[in-house]
Amino acid sequence: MTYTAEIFSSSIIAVGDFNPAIFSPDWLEINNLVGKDDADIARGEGIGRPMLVSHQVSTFETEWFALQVLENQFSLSSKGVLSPALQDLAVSIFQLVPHTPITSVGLNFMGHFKIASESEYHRIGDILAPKKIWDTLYQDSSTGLADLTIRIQQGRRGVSLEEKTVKNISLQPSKKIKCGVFMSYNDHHEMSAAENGLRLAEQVSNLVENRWQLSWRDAERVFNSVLSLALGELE
Amino acid sequence: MHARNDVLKTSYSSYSNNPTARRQGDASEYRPVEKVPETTFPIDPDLPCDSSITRGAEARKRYEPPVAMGFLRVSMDSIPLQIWEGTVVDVDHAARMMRVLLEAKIGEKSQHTGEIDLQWVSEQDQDLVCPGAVFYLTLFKRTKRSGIENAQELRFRRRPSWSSAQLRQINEDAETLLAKMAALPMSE
Amino acid sequence: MSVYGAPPSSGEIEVMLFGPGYGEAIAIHLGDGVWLLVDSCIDPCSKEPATGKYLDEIGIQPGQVHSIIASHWHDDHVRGISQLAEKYPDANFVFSGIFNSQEAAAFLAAYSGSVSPNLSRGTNELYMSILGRQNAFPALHRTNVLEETLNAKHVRVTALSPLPTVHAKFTSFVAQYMAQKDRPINHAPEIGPNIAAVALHIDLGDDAVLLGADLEENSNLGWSAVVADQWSGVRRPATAYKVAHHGSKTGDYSRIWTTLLMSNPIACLTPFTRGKCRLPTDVDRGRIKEHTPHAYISSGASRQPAMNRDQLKRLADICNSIALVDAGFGAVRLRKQIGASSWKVEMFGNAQAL
Repeated sequence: MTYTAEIFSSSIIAVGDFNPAIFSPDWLEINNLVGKDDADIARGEGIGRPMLVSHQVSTFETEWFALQVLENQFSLSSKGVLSPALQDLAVSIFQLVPHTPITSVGLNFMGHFKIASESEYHRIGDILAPKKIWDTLYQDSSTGLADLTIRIQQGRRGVSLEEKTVKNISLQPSKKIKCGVFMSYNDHHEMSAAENGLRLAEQVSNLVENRWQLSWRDAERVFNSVLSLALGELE
Repeated sequence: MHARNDVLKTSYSSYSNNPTARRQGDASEYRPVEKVPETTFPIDPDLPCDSSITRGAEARKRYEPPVAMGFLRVSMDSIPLQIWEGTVVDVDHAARMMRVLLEAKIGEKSQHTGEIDLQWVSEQDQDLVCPGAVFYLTLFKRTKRSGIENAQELRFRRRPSWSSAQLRQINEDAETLLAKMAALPMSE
Repeated sequence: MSVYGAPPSSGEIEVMLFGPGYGEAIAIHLGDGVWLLVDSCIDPCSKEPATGKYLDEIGIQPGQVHSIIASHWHDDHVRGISQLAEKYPDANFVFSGIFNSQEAAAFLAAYSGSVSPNLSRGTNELYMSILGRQNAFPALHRTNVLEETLNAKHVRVTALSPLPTVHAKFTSFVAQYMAQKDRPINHAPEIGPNIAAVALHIDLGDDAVLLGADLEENSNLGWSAVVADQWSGVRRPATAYKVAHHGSKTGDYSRIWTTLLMSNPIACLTPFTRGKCRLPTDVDRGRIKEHTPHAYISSGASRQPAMNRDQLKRLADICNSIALVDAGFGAVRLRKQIGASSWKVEMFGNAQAL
């Protein structure tokens, strides 16, 4: 069985040293990264959505993305249906700020999955986080999985582990869908200074260009496999 | 076990599974919260404004510095049936139509050609319609309170202008290419 | 055993034309185990370059490929050519000589180089192929791609085009599309007509093959100028012809048939589909069959959309005239023993007589 998310979204988050005042709807429009209509919506013209652009924080949104830039974090999130246009926007933004010192970037994909029955819903939690220890400690209480995160690193524990590229897969009960599971996939990359003569933001732009769609496919594979394995559908 | 803070630095899992993120810390600073605790008064954007739960929340919001939270809402219309990456082959302005090459992003599908009326292109993207231009045609189902409806979105790819650094790199790449070109003999 | 059977013998010439309905690739055995590859298209099943897969299946070693020629840079002729270039690292990589200028190299670099590798698939294949080589060879009219003695025959492969005048015209053309500061990064423009394609004449010593690429007629820049050239006019007439530009009217010039070809040659071609443009048309087919009764096309299968009904219905809400691009994959193979009077024709997949 293939599990398809009821709600699926993505965000591209970078950690570094940003000047939030740069990132404004006007700036995106002047640089041809968004059209006039999107820029107008982002400015809140006629719609009334809040836009804030300052030296400490910039935040605005359109119908298909939301951007927040703090002094130490950049976050571009999808709204509505996910499209590769989000990738293009991130690639272009980072190309335009090549001097920005970015230390890490995460390609994130999130999905809310409806589970067919309550028994299957509980079974997922029981498989991934067995209740035995907790039921022994709290014998007259109800225990259950609230949040689980698994970190994946290339290499072998105790020998050598890849530090610069890490995946974090999380699973929680969904707060958006009754009897649903929320999963997130974080493809995290640490940046190395001046690789191949490219500045950090340029490296991030290339990484998003080359990896985002691959990470999307992998996220779907992981989400589907986790649910299938937990429900005993895969050997 | 791993420390939570660095896990969440580039991860948005806890943000995306909470209807809201409450700012913590100094009122004069905007800093991302590392871990969002559940409040006893959940601010659910889907609840009516005059609900007893949100009334208290609205009052609190008036006296606290604004949080960057609007985008943390995940919309309920998001599952694509198919995403087609399209390339404009040519444009017939008289017939208000573009001929396109379509490549599916979901599943293994062969390339197709077709014709799309320019009415499907948004006003802001009309200037981008030219041979070679790339667009994404997303066909999806939108879930609303009234039910599920078919929907589509056509969005053109946008790129910024060439920068000085890029132009320098282009010239370097061109020199590299030219340096590799060698002559074959000519026939008498 | 592969569906293609055994490889040609040392004394057997072969021309193998692949065409999936959008794309073209040719593998040529010149004798003595020496192979040329011209252009590239993707095998829809394996997703590999069709000619590379073919050579693997009939047991040809990488060292036997003498040259890989990109007759031009259009996407339908170079898909996977960079993979071929990587697979056959010792082969010469030959491409249209119009790129041998500062302006043209900058054009390639702008739309396919390290700055913007994804703006143009066709030029990106060319760019990557050249970049991966120590040397790459631009070809113009009269460039010798190969000259060797094979099976005691003097074999020569020469480029008939592009003409030197085309080189100058192209240079001024691309100058308009040079990357400039404050100009938006746009997609690579279509460059036409196909006067910069590399048409090839293969002189086998006692016979010849003509590969027309996508060269079109265009007064003093296309076929008429090529044929009128004194040097071209004395080339050995060919008995096998890969018809130029998918059999189109613009790729045709009557004197090709009377000057560069023997009477009633074997003619083979690939179809082309892009939007409403579908080649060859019925008129084109009729015209080719007037020149020779021995005409074959690599694919003639149906172009019905290949997707489930729900997806087709949703797409059809917005998109009209939906048609499959790769309408059936096929190949036409010509083989002839050296000294024999006629070619043996075999058809694979969706190939058929024209």
